[in-house]
Amino acid sequence: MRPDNTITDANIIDNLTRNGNDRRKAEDQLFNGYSYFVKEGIRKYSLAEEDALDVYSDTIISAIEKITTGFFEGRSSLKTYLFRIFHNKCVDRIRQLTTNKNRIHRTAALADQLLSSLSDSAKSIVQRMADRSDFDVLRTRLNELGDNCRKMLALFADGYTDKEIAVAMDYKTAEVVKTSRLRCLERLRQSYNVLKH
Amino acid sequence: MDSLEYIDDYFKGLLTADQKKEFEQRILSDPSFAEELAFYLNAQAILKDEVEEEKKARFRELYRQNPPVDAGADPGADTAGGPVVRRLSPVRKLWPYLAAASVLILIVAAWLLSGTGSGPDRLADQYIHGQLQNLPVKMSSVQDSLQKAIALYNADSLPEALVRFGQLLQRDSARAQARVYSGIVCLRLDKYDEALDHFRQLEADTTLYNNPALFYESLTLMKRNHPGDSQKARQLLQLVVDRDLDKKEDAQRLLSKRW
Repeated sequence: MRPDNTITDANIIDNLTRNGNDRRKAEDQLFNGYSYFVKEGIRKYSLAEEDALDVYSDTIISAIEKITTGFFEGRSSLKTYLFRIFHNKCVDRIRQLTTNKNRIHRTAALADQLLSSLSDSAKSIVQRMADRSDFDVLRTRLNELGDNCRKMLALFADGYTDKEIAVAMDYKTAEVVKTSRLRCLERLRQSYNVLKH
Repeated sequence: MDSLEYIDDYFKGLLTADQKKEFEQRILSDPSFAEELAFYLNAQAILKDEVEEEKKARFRELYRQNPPVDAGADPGADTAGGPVVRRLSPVRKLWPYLAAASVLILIVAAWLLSGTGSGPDRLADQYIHGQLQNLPVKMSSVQDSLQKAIALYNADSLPEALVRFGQLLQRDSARAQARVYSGIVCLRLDKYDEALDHFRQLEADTTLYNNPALFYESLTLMKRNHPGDSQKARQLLQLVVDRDLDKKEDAQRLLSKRW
């Protein structure tokens, strides 16, 4: 029996792009496949094991996102690609540890990514408003949404389409998911605004 | 609801070029719309954070259940198309034993020959015969072009192997493993200048995490043994040791000899 030897990069990439159970399994396979990088993080970059593991987890999460959104072009092997990300993240972590610099807030990075086609002036208006938001309140309100709402919104944030969410959560159609999801988001917005004002 | 759907459609790429322009105009002219967009982004960001935290917790648990064995692998080496390296692989389990056996053979051979006052070319020969007779083969149901070329090398069909490695490099000149092996084949075929050319190109590749280029370059110089080569080889080996580069231990062993 050869439990994992037949798993190729191509298998993993293919399964990552199929959202659902296959994707979760592929995420775990990817993580397990190169977890010895953690030791490299400890040895080569003098990181504590907890930091090296955190950096490695970030590496895998970032790679999953690149692969599922089609940004990984396969010009190098998965191992080389992962190690490049890991190396950069180790360097960032060292810098962060030595300068005690907080990480850039995710919204700034997300806004940059999502609003890339907008003009700078439009982008900066949205960014200013996003910065003024109260994240703790929003997080609290999110946690008060029902499980179904949270799961649906989380799957969408993780890159699942409405169609894939319909399959994963046993909804009839993608349209039903979209309507329910936007309703959840609207509920979140209203409860956030009530608490904020 | 309408605004959120509009924003949602924008991020899904469902708007036409004109609608996208209107979208931007609305951000500039309608503060309440811009605020909804900011809310949408913040909600996405928090949700993404939570998804990531959940994944990290899952990964931590996986790590706790299967702590990694020190693979001693070359994380930067190119293994395009090959199987993902697995801890449970039977071949990987054997590696430490094979490596130990190789080292033992090398030590015994070195001990037997130590009294003969080897020159650099003989020392290089010993290394080549001890370490470079076979290239590592991956156990996989898929035999890719690299594996086929390696099989030719291991069958001692060196000129044919060189052609195959060359074809791989033509398709992808950045393929480090093919570059290393091309250099090694050239070295074994006594094509020293070509071997040096391969290793120097490899040396310039800063993307590699483990780069054995300097070590093989010095081995080639030892084997060629032209005037000045020996001294240059020693300097390069010393660099390998000082900078803690790939093949450091082999470099230390070669430096410990008299040549």
